[in-house]
Amino acid sequence: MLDTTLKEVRFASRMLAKRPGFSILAILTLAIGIGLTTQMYTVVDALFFRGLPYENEDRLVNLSSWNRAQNFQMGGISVHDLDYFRERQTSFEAFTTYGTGTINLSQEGNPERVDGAFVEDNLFALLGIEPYMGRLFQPGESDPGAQRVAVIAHSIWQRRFASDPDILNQTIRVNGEVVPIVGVLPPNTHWPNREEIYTNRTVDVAGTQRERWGNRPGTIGLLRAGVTLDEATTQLIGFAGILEEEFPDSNEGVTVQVEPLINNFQDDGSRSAVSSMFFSTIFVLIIACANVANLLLARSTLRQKEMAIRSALGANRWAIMRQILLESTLLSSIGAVFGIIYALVGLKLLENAVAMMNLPPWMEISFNSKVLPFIILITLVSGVLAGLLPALYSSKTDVNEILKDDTRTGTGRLTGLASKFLVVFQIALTCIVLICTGLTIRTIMNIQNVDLGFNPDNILTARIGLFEGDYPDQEAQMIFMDRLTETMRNQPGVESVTTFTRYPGRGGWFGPEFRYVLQEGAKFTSEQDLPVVRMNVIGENFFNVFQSQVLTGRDFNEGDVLPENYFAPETFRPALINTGMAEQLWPGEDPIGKRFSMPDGTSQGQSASFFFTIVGTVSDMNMNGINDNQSPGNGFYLPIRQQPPRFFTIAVRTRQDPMQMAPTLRQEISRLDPNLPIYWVESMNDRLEEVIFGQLITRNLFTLFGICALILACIGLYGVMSYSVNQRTQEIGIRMAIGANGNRVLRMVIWQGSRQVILGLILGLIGAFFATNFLATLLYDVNPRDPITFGAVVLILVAVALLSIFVPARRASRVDPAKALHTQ
Amino acid sequence: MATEDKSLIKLEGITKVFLTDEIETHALSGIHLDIFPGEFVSIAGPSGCGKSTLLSILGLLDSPTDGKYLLDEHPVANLSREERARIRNREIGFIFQSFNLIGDLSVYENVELPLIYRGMKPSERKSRVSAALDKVQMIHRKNHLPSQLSGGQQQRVAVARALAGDPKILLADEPTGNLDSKNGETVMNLLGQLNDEGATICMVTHDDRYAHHAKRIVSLLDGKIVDEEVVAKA
Repeated sequence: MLDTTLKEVRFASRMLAKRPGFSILAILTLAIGIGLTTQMYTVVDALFFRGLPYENEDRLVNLSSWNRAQNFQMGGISVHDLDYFRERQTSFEAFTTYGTGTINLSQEGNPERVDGAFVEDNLFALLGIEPYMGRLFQPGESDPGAQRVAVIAHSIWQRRFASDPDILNQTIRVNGEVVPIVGVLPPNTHWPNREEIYTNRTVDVAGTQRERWGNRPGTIGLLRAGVTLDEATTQLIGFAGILEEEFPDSNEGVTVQVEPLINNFQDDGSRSAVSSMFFSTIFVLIIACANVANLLLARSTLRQKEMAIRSALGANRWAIMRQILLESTLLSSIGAVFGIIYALVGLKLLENAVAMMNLPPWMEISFNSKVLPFIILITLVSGVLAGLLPALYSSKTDVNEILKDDTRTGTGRLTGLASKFLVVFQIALTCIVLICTGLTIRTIMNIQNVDLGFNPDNILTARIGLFEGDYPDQEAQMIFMDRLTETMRNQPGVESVTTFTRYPGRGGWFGPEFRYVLQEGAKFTSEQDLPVVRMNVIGENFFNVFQSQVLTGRDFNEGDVLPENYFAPETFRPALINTGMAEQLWPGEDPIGKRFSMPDGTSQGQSASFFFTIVGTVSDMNMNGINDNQSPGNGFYLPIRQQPPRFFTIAVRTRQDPMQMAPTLRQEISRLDPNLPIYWVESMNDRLEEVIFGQLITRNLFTLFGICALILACIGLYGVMSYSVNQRTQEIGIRMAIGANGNRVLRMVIWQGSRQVILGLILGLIGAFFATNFLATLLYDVNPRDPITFGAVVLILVAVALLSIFVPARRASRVDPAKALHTQ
Repeated sequence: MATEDKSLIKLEGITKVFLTDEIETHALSGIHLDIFPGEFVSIAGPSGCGKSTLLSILGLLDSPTDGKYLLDEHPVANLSREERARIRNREIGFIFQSFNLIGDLSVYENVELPLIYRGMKPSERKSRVSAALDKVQMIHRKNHLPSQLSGGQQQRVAVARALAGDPKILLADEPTGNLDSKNGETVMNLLGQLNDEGATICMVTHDDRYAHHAKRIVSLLDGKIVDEEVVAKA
């Protein structure tokens, strides 16, 4: 059996080597399909198929507070609620909490901003993580007043501390506080993503005020063995109901959601986007297989005699099919080798994009042995897909007829039909992929054409965190901010400087915060009645730097200083509101001088005891994020002088390329405070581009898939038409001999090819009508069934397809009838 | 003719009708024929008389429209495609007018092919192929491709391929049709020699010279057997 198979493989190799043109075309075609599919599968595998690398990963769950009325997640579980659960629950072995953030790290100067986490003392134990060196956090280190210690990741131990074996008990400054390093984590071990510095988080339930919005750290639970997710959820929801009744101010409408912990890393939006890209590559692979199938079908007609002889000598149907399938699988195997090379290059090109995703190491998108079974599978499937029709056709030849008739070389009716079916299929799939491509291109165009309400050009931004150790109070923070803005304002090439807490044009964590607001004198009965708007805290010159406008009233100025008691009812708290908020809260009225509060949302009536007074209205700068297609966002601004934050962004409008100002900014900050790192030093345009990073990647990949699909489909169409014209040379010669002119033949061939294109387009449009639903979450201001995109794709496909048909059609129209008839 | 022997091939009332655009063409009508082990039968007749159709039915490349066909006493007229392939492989050896060697396989591989389909062990294949090629004096060309051989040599290879499987009957369809007279004569002598050694041969030819190499000539005309002649040997 092995001997026979080897002989067949040898024969198949010889057959492929004998026709190098055919083989190279087929191999490259399959390489494109297999390469793209492998590349995307590697992404899918990394993002969705890997389990958490922690002990008891199937019992680890994420707990979050869920606002039942308004259907959104409020964060983790509040410290009070969690304390209540801890005392009563029977479903979990343990809970733990954590918070993440960037950390100012320094050691004898040399400041650095790194990602870090503040974790409860049992977090590492719950995840089953053992120390690489030293120890991890110990019980009691989350108790109130416990000494702060640090555990560092292996990566930073190597990078910053040069793998110092004496690292334990050395001190570092973490956000200005001096803490000893007590342990190092094992290599590639982090939580949740790539955090490098961990300090113990203290939990003081008694000393923490019960709030509706605050103190909701990330919460993890370890289910007891044998307890299901549903059972645990039911128990906690029961407790949440009790708390809701007992503490309506903070807990009304708040329930608990329990999900597998892996869900923290896999959201439905990216799953849907990546799946749609993966399926597009599968489509490209199928198109490639259909192409090779067509090439093999054409060759099968030339090999009818060989197959008939084999059959006459006693080869059964399977033996003949096996020979063809072996050849197609050999083609796909060689194609796979080139495909893997492409995938490796493709993944390398994706590296920058992947870095921006800040994935945990265990989700790293890399080519590994786990992808190999998939490659073997698609190689075999591609071989079978490409070879099946030709194999079936070859095994069904009429032995007697073929052996009797030496001149027989024509295509059978069934082969012709099969070949046309494959082209129709290719056009349909190409149409679907191209429509997805078109929709993502339209999305990016729409986002890039969004009216930001400000000018992001020539703005340098950088983030700074001021911590208690060096900046103990708001006054100290404000002094630093003033010094920095003053210094930068005096630099040559700088037009204006400002500070703010949240980036305009960005949503999510970086965008302006959501706030409930209520006009003075207005009443509300429940949280749902309250208007929700965005809030940003800004310094002077904010609107100058962003080239936006104060429309009425005044801008903030240096007179809006930190009051002695910010929360006292009589304190004057100025606010600027945009026109959207003005229209929302005071339609048709002049809002200047009017006051609003920020109620916490639960009490009947006005719960807030202090108000903000509107001193001016400003134009609508985008506050929702440029990828949010609802609206630019209604909102208000508060002066940074009244709420100096620990974290702020400095924005510098320059006269030239803003990044040229970056070294100066770093230098000036270092001069003001050598221990203070800055981070996210980027132009405003780059900060905005990060928002649409997902869409940009999707567009680029879809464009690649679309071009590949289009090229392959056109090669397929050209091949079939070309072959058909060759086969019909005699017929065309006869037609011309009896009076058909070149134009008539040209029209005839074009029409015959066009019928396949039209049918393919109809099927493709129907397919795209449903397939584009998967893309919906990624699209911006464009309907998944956008008629312009659908129409444009039809035009492009028709134009390119006609070109593919035209070349063989023109050859047909130039057939010399005398020669054609003589040749036969 | 040893009539008491059992027929290797027995045809009873074989009819073959082709239907083309609702027109019935009777290629064979009521053929009765027995071929006995060790016989060398030549089926002769003018072009279009149905001799090739008859040979296709004998070789299980085609099925009769009606009638009974017993091969070694087993009915084979209406077997499945797979079963017909199996019998072709094991019981029948084909020699075609246009040799029908596979151009991409060497002489050795061409002869080996039916044995591979039979699932024979490599060692046995090797000895059988060598013996067959030796018999037709082509062993020295075993690594050549068919295109590197003359027509006569190719037909000898085809004969070796037909012989290698040790079939019950050799069916030869105009085996000299594509050869010059010298090569034709050589091939006919080879078939005669094989018959002398015990092979049963049924040959279709329209050439009177070669028909007389057989021991019995069956003449066909318009799809019917019109004459049978036992050839007297010198």
